[in-house]
Amino acid sequence: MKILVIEDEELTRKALEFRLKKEGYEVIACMDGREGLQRINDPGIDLIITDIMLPFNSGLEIVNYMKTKMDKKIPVIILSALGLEDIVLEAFKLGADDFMTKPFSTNELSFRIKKFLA
Amino acid sequence: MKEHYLDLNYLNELSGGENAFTIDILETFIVNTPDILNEMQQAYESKDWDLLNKSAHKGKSSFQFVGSKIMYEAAYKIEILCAKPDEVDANEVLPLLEKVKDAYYITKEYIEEELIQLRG
Repeated sequence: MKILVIEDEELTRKALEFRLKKEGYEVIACMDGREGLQRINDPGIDLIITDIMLPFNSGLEIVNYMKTKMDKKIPVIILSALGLEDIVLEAFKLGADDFMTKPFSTNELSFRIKKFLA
Repeated sequence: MKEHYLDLNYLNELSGGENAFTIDILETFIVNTPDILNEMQQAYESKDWDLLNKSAHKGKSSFQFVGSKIMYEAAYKIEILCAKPDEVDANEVLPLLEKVKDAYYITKEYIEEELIQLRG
């Protein structure tokens, strides 16, 4: 199973990559929205985890692109720090499937991913 | 007290006992945080409150990783103060910015002590 991670904050990106690989997933890690949009069309991606506030293209743009322009439906989990509830709601309206707050817990990460990749 | 500047409970949960990961995160924090603080300082000096809001928002994610409560809380307050650029009082922001920077140096010292132990 392959997961695309789009997160510009390096510690969060490293932590996600580390935890996901420990759980046996293959990970593509991107550090900004532009790279994320490029890699979305890579073959074999089963799940996307994306931050909202990103350089170049935001997480909202990524969700919107996926839900309106792509044929393949890939689940999207939004990452959000506390205080961005309005933007999280906007992401759900655009079609995001789930969200996690930062900092994420390992158990919550595992649970939310298995919901889509079981 | 040390736990206000460095609390590794969250990192230890993430690492599952793998010291290499913890070392990587702590080293990355030391390398990256000066740039974050410089960006915040420059945003303050140019009165770019939107940039300062965004920088503080990003920075506090990093600060949470190492459990630096003082850095996190000060950055959070800066983020809130700068959320409405037209209403920012620079005199309220400056002491918080100084607090983040001062706390970083203390946090860094504790991290360096921790790294010595982790590296064996």
